[in-house]
Amino acid sequence: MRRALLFTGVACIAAIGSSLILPAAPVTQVLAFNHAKHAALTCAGCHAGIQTTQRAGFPSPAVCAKCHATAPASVAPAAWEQLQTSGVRFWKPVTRLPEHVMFSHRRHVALARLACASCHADIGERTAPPARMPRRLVMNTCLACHRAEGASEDCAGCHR
Amino acid sequence: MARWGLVIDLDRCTACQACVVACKHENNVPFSTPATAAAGRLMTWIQLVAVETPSHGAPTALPLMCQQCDRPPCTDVCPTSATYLNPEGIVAQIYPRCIGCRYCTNACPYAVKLFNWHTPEWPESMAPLKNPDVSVRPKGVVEKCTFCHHRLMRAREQARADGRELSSEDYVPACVQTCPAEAMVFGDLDDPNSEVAVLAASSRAFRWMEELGTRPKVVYLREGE
Ligand code: SF4
Ligand code: SF4
Repeated sequence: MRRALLFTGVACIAAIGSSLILPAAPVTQVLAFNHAKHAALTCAGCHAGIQTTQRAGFPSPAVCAKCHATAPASVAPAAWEQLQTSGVRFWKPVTRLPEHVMFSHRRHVALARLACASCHADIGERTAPPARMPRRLVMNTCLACHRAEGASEDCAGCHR
Repeated sequence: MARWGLVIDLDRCTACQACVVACKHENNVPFSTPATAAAGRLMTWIQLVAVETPSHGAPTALPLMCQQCDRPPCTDVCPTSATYLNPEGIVAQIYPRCIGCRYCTNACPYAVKLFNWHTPEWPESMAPLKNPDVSVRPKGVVEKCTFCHHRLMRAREQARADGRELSSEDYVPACVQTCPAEAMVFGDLDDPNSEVAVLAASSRAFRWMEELGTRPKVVYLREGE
């Protein structure tokens, strides 16, 4: 009986511990996008909405086609053609917040003038898409900045 | 800082329950079946209850939601501070902190705190209609009216984007916006010029079960006999 209890206890601690320590499942993108090569563009050029809405958008294939009339060197022309004609948004988000957290890009980027790198770290310099979020974001990441900037620390301000 | 309050004019209210529907839709409150309601597990942040109002004999349908008490008994008993009185007078619920002990549901004299006995479900056709500004509460936590706090956050953001101060008109909860009889008025109780402050000081004003000392920020209006 005591052994069983001990085993259950250890299993619980291990499960909780690993869920806190290990990052979320890795993300594989359809295209090996090279942010560094696109450094001349502004973030908002492709991620429309970061200045005006809560969510940051991902570019649709049509946005890529504005510059890339034909397939980029690293992408097979057939695959490119298929992405263009299907028109689906194929990017998968790597930086994800829990469902109960309310984060508005407009509030932070346009109004508080926060640099994208504050949360997204060196994503703009990456040569390949990261499998996990480039900066691990926990509540203290937010709170440290909120305290330093004198922003609201009311729980209900961010937890919806 | 504002102290948000709600005035409900019972002489205007027609008990149509549009507010009840608006609240359900706005705050992702799941449907209940007659069986869950019969078991006392009805999920609704606002409901019309039949009461006898002071100095008025006939029963009145009272739209009852969290009274956003200035002295909330529910927050005193919460062991995790998952429910607390925020600086603007809104009694908030932080769902991921809630351990579901239900101390608060028992401490609330208005019985307006609801425990999620089940994982919430919607008909498939309604799944895309959920409000993205409000989380879907999981099984095992307590929820209640928040004065549509998410609307305050949006309104404040919009006011800042426009480069102006937040005004009372910017922030209106869903029930107040919907009421076809215009029986509800919302605003800053600490602003002496606001409509709510004037109405709350009128001779028709009373607070529900105010003798308990909870100091509600929901104020009802009713003409005496
Ligand atoms: S009405 Fe009930 S839930 Fe609302 S603040 Fe008062 S005690 Fe808490
Ligand atoms: S049920 Fe949740 S909010 Fe209520 S007292 Fe317990 S922990 Fe606090």
